[in-house]
Amino acid sequence: MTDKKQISEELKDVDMSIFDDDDDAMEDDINQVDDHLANVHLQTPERPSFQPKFFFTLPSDIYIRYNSFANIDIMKKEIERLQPIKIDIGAVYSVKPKDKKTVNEKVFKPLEKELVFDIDMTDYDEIRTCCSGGDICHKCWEFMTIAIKVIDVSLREDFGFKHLLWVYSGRRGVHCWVSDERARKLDNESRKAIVGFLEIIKGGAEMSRKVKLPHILHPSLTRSLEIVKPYFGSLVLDTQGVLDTPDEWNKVLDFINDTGKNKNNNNTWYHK
Amino acid sequence: MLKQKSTRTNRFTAATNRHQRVYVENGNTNLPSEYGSRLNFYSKAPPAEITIEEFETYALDRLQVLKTLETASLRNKHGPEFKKQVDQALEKHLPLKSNLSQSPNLLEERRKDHISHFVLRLAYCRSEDLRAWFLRQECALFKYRFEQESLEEKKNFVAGLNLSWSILDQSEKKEILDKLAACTVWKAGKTAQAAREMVHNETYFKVDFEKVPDLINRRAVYIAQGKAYVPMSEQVSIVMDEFRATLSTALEATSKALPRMEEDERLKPILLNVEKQYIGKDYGVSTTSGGSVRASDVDQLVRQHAPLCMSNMHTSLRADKHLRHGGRMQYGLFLKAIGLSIEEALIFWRTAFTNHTDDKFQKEYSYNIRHNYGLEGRRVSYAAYNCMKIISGNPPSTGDHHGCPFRHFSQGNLESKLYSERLGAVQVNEIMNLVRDRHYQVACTRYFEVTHSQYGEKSKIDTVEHPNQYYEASKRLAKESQDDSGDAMEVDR
Repeated sequence: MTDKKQISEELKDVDMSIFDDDDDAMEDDINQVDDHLANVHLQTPERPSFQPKFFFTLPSDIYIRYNSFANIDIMKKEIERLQPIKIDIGAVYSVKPKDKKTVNEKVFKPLEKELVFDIDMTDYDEIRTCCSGGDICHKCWEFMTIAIKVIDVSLREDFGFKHLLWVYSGRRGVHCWVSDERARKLDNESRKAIVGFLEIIKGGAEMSRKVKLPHILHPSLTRSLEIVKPYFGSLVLDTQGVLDTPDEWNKVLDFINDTGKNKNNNNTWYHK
Repeated sequence: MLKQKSTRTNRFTAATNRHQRVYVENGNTNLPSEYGSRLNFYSKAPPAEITIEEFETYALDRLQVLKTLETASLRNKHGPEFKKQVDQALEKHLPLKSNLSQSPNLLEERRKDHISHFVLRLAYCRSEDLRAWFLRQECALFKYRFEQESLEEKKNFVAGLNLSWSILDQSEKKEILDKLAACTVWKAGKTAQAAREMVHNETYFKVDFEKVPDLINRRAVYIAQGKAYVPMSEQVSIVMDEFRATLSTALEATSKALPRMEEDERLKPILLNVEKQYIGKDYGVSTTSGGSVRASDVDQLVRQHAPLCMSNMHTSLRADKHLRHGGRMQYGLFLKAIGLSIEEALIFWRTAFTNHTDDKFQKEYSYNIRHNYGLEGRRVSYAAYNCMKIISGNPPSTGDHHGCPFRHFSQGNLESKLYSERLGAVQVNEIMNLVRDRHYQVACTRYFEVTHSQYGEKSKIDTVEHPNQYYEASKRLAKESQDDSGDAMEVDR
């Protein structure tokens, strides 16, 4: 638990400072926000009726949806009034929320939405030996660091995105918000394609070996390999100790031999 | 005419060197330019007047072709059998000869193709399900025809589309040659040298990555700064995506204009009739199961009648007291289609997720369950997934249990699973062979036969295309046998 608090402390400033109640610093904050977050929409005068939607969770679990604001002052006042404990940022819709009920459901469509990635530590449960489920610690957090490095460089170099914001999700992972205009306007097919491009794990709970790549790698994977290589010895072998105990090395053997044949390896490992 | 080894560079390479785009002139001057190729993007409505009879017959003929395409692809995705069936249907209902054939009927054929497409657009634009079905089949038909064209015809057609793809110039290509080669190795042969040669000789297009989602998804091309470098050979993919995008937008526009069109009293009955012909049972929007299944019945019903994909998820749900999103969707919609009402569904999932507090369940899961039943958000009652969607859609990842076992389990795990369901070695091997040849649905159908062998000949059902079809067949057999034998006997496996 201490590790969680520590990490939370370290990353606290990244996303919460924009809501500081300091009027003098508001100007600076707006510029900072402009650079990173969805609020950039509020600044465009050309389309005043198109605003991103905010979703507030209040204490005692009251959930208010589809709030939108004409400018940052109104938003600030509303947040001060409601004091939400959680704020979610949604898409820019084709219709203002107060008109929502008067329009056919099908017309109410999202027009723009940041591209957001969510990495959860539980996705590493099959390969981390120190924690599982909701727990995180400095040992397995290194997996997260590696993931961030790999995805960050791919989004920038492969896809050309520039406005990336990485934040601690509050519990056991990170989020990456891509707010380039090109990213906001992506349709579902393209978003799925980006994820498909990044993903190398294929297979559910019933598949042991989930990474199967050709001998000559795609340039993006070659680059990722170079990022990942230096960590193998220190993180996977030493810190995580995946070859230290029979339970652990058997999992590794499962990766290598999925067809159920060749259990001879097991004995060789043990004797070593 | 002697065939000589050409020493000229092809026109595209030459144009590349001049930093130009290539527009090709249509060689065949007998046909009007919009019918110059037998391929068609259907961007413009047919200009001619037609009779009401033609309106209906053309539509039904085309529908026959689309139906055949769907069934043939379900049974046999790529083989010669597939081609034979589709060719037969095309010959009979919608012949479309190529320019080379010099047939006198080219114009008539192309006109019919054009008109029939547009009539079907009217018939199938009404709802999202219909549009999705029509889009799928039209894309399949277009792809089928496109792949049959000669290289020359393809180039001409694509050039005529004016899609403004820019060609990669030589100097830039040289800089990234190795990277391009790394992406083509699997095609060029195993050696890096062969790959580099292929890249050197091939024409490449530089397009925005959004235009080729399929290629990006498969990581089949090199990308940098948001631009994808696509070789000519992958042209099919780009053209297909353009076709799909164009048709998708057009269908939405048509659906908005439909009310006005239906004011013509002659058209409405025909359109409704065409629609009724066939889109396959969708087990969703118009489910007639009436909500008679209770939460407490699910365990037994699933054990006795559900296909392997659903029983697998059910087992995992019981074991983990949890199921991830993909599984909740696939399994949840299946349960809705067998007759689990929203109230019973909430009870079922609530009791299944025993480790969660009431609060947490309410916050995180009940909204989504209600959403599936069309009680939230867009208020669309989702249809249960058919096999095609499960097999080729959202694949399972770490910790997921959804998908199709015949497709997504590793061979070892699938075999163990089949043995644990008390199948004999001969039967397991039969099924494994089908799986190895990628006939997942046939494998599932065989699995049904084997597990329902007590019904003898009646266990031989049509190829499973939908998990609920499997379930209903199983239930029907049980009911029939119960009626026959006259007493309340549920067969235990």
